[in-house]
Amino acid sequence: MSFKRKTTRQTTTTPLVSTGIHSLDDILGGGIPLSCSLVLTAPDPHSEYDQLVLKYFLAQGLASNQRICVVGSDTENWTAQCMWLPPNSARQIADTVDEDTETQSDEKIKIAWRYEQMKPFQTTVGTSSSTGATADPCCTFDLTTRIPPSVIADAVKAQDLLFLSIDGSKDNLSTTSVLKRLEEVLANGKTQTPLRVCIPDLGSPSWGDLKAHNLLHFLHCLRALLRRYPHACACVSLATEWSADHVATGWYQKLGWMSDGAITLDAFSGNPALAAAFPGLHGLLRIHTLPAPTTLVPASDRFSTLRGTGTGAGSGENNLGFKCTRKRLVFETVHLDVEGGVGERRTTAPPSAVDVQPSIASKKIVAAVVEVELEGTPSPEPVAAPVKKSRKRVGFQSDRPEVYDF
Amino acid sequence: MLSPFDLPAGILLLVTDQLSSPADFMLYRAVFAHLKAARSEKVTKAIVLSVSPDRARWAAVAAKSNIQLDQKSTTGAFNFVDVLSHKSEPDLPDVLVVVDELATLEWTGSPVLDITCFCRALAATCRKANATLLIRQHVLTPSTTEPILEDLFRTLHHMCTYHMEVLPLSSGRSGAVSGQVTLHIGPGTVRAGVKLFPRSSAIHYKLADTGALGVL
Repeated sequence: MSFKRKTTRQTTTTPLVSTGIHSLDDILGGGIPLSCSLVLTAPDPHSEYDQLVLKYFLAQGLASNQRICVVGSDTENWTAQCMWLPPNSARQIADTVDEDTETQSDEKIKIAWRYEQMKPFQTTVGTSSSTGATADPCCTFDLTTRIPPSVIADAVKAQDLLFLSIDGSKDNLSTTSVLKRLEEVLANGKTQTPLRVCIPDLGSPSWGDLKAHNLLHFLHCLRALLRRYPHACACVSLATEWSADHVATGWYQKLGWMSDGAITLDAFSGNPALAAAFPGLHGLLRIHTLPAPTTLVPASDRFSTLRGTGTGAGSGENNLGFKCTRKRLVFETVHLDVEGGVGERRTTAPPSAVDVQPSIASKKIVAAVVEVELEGTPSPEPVAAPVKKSRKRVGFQSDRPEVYDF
Repeated sequence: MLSPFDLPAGILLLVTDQLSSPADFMLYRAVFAHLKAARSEKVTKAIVLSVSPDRARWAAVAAKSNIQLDQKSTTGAFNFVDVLSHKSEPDLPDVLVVVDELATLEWTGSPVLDITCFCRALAATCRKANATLLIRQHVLTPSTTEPILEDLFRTLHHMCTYHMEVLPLSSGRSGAVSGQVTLHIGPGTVRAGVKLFPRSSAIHYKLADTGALGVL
């Protein structure tokens, strides 16, 4: 199934910022709208895909000369691990000819002539799909390239990159003090440049002893803060211990109500069965809510190519997953394998054709003999073979076509 | 009030919704219809008590329905109140009071008893002033897909005159239909000829930018 490529255009006046990942921008409807918050959860304890998304978010902000505020502990080291643009600094268009094609066979596959002109089946969007609707065009980052320390130093010097550490005392929760200092940053900064608030690992032990309602209160107040200062947006990732749905009753739904966007990156690392079922992916993406700051319907519903919700009435939503290749993180649609999908038709065998013949000549398979005996009644003859249905007789007689026998 | 439902004024309507079928459009519809139907702006008031400061969204959606909320605010016909800062008491007839995001108060640590007392006091005030009170309450549906009836919901349900549910489709997401709406009578209300819509004959709606389209 190939889908029509749509231009991702926001008709509302809310400006968008790119997340640094083309396919995630598409899923969100063009990017994260300013004045909105996006919460990421990743319940798998063996991987940190949510933090990877946050690093893209930060790198995109730096590449676009926007202001960034990183909140957490050891934020300088965390920032130094971010990815950056490829060394040749040309913004290469990430086309399908990348390491994905290395896994394909080198032999030319015989394709029927009518399909030879068709493009390969696409499961994700390329870089050309994002238009100038965002405040910053999405850069193509390379996971094999680390951010140069000079870029970080220059941004810190220009006060475009701020680090907010966590401090909490016995009387004052860490979340309360962070909100207060964040408000100072938002109030004192330049309002013409978008500001990205980046909070990796919210709820980790460095945040102190927090309860579920403390976290929800923080997210709620953060959203209120962003509404008051609409030149900013926030991307938050929850610590692993707060990312599972069983943390509290209806936890994912509560997170969805407390933020503008909430998505879960459910990696397969701890579940080999799922990894085997979806060999090309590293996890599934679950969307709980999407930003709609000034509209009833999220922009993603109309503009997202990957989600496929805008393609006419009656269409459902595509399942989405993600994979991390050597150079990039990609979100794409999930499709069942040929054997498990609807491509292979299997019809049930007719009842008269039950096979009791031995498949191998040397073996003799004897049909099971069932004997039912009731007290006082003569035992019926054992059924050695299934009863064959009598063939249906058609009432039409060929020599007398006007007569029908029903 | 609230077409196609023929609900009378002066009631306490409890609107419950879920994350996959939010009832924002229902609140907007109630307020905008109330403002549009006003004979005189001095008499008719719509007050929105919200825990989430989303006034900009109200204004943006209202603009699509040709209502200028800023203008209505200056004339006093529309009042947006942040519940966490203070509460306002309606003192005029023909007032519609909308309380939004009560569940947020509970989830962020406010005691259920305090919220219940606030709702009871508000309901009593609205009943004395013959004002219509509309409360939105979120219902959680974890993986079991059965809604969890929290204490706050039970209390509100006991108080309400009518209960409107905004639900997702039981068969899953569809491109043509965003969800379904049902209307039930409150536990202590006498049947008064208002047409009810149980789950078996729920009304389907599709969300568009201008509101809920076409009751299918």
